[in-house]
Amino acid sequence: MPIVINLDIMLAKRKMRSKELAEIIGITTANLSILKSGKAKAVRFSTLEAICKALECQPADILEYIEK
Amino acid sequence: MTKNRLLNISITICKLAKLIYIFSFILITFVFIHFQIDRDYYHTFDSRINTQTTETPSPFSLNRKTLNKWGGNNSKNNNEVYTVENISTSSIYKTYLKYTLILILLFLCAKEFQNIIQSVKNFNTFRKNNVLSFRRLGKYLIIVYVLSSYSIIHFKDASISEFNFTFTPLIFILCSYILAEIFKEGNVLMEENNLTV
Repeated sequence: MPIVINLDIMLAKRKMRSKELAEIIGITTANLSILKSGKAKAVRFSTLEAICKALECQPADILEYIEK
Repeated sequence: MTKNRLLNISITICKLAKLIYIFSFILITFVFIHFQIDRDYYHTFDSRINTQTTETPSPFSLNRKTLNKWGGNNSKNNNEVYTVENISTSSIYKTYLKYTLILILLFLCAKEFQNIIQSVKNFNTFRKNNVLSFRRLGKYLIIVYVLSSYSIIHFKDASISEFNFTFTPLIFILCSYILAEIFKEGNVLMEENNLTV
């Protein structure tokens, strides 16, 4: 898929663990793992909003379009 | 609550149907074996086979029954000749195998249907297993339809062949395959929903 999730980079920048982020945004670690690995088919606005709030970033910092 | 009751009734009906198929299999096997041992016993029953040839065109079925004679036995009384105990041994074996296969396939159909209903009850409706179950159901019904649409009984000097094509089972077969496709779409939607974070 040409949409790349840069959640790992943002987590490293904020020195936060996946488990912590999952707890803050209220999703399971399994679902966060799906999102990080790029297996997710869709992301809810509410989830994106929660991630941006927790990581103090913009959606563009997490999502990137790379043409293949 | 209502849904569960309906599903429970369906499961019970499937279980009952499976029991009936097992019982029928045991019964025809018993009759088949007994027929080999004591053929004369069946003299006591009114076991005449209807030899009247038919050809009835109808919008829902095609039926054709023919009687083929050889050896010049036209003088004999038909009802005397064409009774159950006069059927050739090979024909009995073929008929027994045919009905056994039909019963086994009907048993498998009931089993597949029960599995589907059970999965609906357990909220696993759009699983891949159900798609496969509907396809298997369709295949079993096709075989049952083909097997039950013809019947050839051989006697010493004649044979009765009957072809009976009814269109109603075809609707069930079509429904099975359509439901398989619907459940396949449902499975795709379910997977997409599961992969939405």
